[in-house]
Amino acid sequence: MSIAPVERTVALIPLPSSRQGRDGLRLTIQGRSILDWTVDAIDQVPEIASLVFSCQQPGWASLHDAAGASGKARYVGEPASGWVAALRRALDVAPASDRVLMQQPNRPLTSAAGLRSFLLAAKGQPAAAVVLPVKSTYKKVVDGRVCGTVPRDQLFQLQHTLVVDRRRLEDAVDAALRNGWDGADEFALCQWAAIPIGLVRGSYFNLPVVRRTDVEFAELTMAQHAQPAV
Amino acid sequence: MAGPYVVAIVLAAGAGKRMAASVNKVFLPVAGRPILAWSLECFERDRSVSEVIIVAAASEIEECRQRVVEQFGLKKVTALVGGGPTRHDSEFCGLLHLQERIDTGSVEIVLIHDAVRPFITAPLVGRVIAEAVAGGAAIPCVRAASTVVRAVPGGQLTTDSADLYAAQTPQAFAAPLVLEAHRRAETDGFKGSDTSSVVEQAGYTVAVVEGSYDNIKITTADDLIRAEQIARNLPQLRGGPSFLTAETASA
Repeated sequence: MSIAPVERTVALIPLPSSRQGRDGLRLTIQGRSILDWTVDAIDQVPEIASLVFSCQQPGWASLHDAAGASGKARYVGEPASGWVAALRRALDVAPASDRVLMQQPNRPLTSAAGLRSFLLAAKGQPAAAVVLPVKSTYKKVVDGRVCGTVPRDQLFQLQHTLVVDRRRLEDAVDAALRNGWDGADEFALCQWAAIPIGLVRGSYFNLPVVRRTDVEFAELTMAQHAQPAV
Repeated sequence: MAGPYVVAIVLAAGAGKRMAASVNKVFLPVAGRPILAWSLECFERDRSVSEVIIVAAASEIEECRQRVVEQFGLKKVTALVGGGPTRHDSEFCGLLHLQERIDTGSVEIVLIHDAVRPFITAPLVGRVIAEAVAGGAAIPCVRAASTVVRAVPGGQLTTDSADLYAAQTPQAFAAPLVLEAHRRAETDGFKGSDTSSVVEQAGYTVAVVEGSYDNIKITTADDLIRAEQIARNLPQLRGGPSFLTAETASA
């Protein structure tokens, strides 16, 4: 019987550059910061060997010393202007791996079990993203008029958790920097670099927490589920 | 000058499969009252709406009448009509109930509303009615709150969502127009995912008015948590306290 080789995965958390984004991560749920909840979920995933933060501003160095309960190594990339350059710096300090899991920091309802399921479902794919089927009917609208209805079964909302083959990601980042590409996010980067992306279903509870009302939602969700959402 | 005669058709025949609930979602409580009651309250207090028709599963018509219409003393509900197997079919059932009055011109504007959107407000209803009076068809929409990916056949993904909007209800139509569009869909075998798509399919122009991010559709379990949050602020949204009180419930 052959045993499939374990894919080594590094988790990468892009830290926000805006003051609003940074302050948002310090909001607390049940006494712990949003960033702590997100990092803890990653810490509990055995397939993830280490954690890397990318940052566009100085001031995050303390994350390097804040060891999680799992004792996994943490790294902080040198600050760089622009998220693609910051991603490059973070990859420079990240230990060798087969894949990179990129996780938004403001997702405290992410669970370790959910991340494990995702990594398993994404195994062998060049890239995969967590998505949810949309709940509403979507329209193409031009000049205040409906131009058509988009088939709902083709539409998914991104949850901004993405895993990418390490070599392909590094090539994409380098190409983006060479070409001055300045897209919206990591998903857009993969699309630009023509990396095929698989879609894996996530949880509707896993909302980004950016406002006080979101904190209340997260508190209520945790109270009902007794643990972060799967 | 009196406004048009407006009838709201409220679709309440959903099964709640995605909620994994044992009962129809419209009966689930939000802030202690059924979701359906919150939806109907807006039409009950809005003077621009003259009448309400509820389309329910045939097996739940009595439950709707007793647990919601009678319990909360909703006077504008003039009929409870049996629905069909799909949302599209239930819309048509509601319209067929009104067809004689539409054909004679006594019903001028029809609103089609999903009962599981309980947080509509009078200003929102006013916007769609005004636009439907002006142009024949109007729907409320909001921009997608997060990045929407389209997986087109063949596996290609696109994220060009700049002109992509999430449609909401109530959707408002000149009554003869929407009835004619539905009759044509029946002939052609077309099933729409919402009323607007039926009207679009018939070749009519549909205007878009500003929707509301609080006008959520309660579909999955997480929506119930969000709904409890919104319900707490509903008096501000609706310009006054709810009349769905214990007093009206016991009246």
